[in-house]
Amino acid sequence: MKSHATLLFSLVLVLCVSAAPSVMAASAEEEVLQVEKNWCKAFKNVDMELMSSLYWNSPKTTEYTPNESYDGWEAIETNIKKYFGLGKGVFDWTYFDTQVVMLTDNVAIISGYHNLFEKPPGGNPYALILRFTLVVQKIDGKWLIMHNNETRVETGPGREAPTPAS
Amino acid sequence: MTGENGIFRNTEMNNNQRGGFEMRIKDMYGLLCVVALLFCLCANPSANAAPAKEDVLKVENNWVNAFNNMDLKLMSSLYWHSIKTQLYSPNVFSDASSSFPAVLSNGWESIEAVFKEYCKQPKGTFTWSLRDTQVTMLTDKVAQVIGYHELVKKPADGSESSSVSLRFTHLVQKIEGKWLLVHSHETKLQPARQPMGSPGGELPGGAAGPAGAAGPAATSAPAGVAGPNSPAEAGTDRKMNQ
Repeated sequence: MKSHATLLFSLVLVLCVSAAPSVMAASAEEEVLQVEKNWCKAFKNVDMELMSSLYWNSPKTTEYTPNESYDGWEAIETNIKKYFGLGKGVFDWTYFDTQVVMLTDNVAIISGYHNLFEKPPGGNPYALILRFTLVVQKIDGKWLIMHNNETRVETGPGREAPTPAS
Repeated sequence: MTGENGIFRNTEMNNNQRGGFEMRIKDMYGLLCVVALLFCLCANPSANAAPAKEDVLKVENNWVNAFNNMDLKLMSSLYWHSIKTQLYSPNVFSDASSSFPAVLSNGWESIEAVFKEYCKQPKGTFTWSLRDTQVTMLTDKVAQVIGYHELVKKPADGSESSSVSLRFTHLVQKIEGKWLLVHSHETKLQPARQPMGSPGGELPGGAAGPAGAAGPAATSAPAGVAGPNSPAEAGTDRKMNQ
């Protein structure tokens, strides 16, 4: 009777151990995706503190915007501050068709599209679609952006533009 | 006998002392070996970093070579043959006659199909080169390569040449001992830049300003989005006189 219980316990243990990596992977993907969610949230709320916490604050961090390249966190921060200076409620970023690829336990790629809507005070609202690649790395237990590449997508015949988040 | 014994004892003692001394030398030697081994192990990652960067850069150089020589075999050897491999590449020549469309390719098979389409052009039509390439080793098995691809198109019919700059992000990973491309993102650069706030000007955070190069029509109501296998990326090509 005792040996049966031990065998059963061993089997359950083996099953748990086998299942663990996939469970952990799913959790890691969610953690990585949270970086993207927070990136959009930081822009929407003009939250520099949150934005700063998402990037690796290093001179090695790089960002490509459609027409500019920024080397180092300080340059990226300066650029974001200019953007935030335009005020809250002007810009709304959302993401869609997002894909997370875990390269290792500590490095991942997030790719997808950003949907940018702007409502300039007194101006006409406009929208832009951007293709992005975010390279994130887990440093000291935290997922941080090492590199961001944003490409403006030409609008044209194709599927309908997604509805902006309200 | 006593004397002999004494001498014997002394000799024995000397032998023991010599033995102890030899043992100490042996111990010291052993310790030195361990220290040297530890030093080698500690120094190893930095010593390997430079060759690893060179290996990664070689992938990038081969990528350009494969495009210049329309070498499918070489190109195939550079990519991870997985459904997870991704390539986002804009339409580098926006003229209507361009026969290789911009695509979002998911998986090696899709990337291969795009490259095969590119190879239908006469050899020598396109010349690719690298500029300002930066390799960042994220781990000993994952590297990021960023920089610019300069592309010159010389049409076979002798018409005007044109050039375009592409900015790229490549992720390469060492899989089964070989550095392979796992992700490519190419951005076609706009030829001119305007200050922030002006029509078409750059806005921080990744956007281009209202009424940007894509034009007011695109900003007011985007008709669609470049999804998989659809043309993407606005831009004007620089024209070059031959």
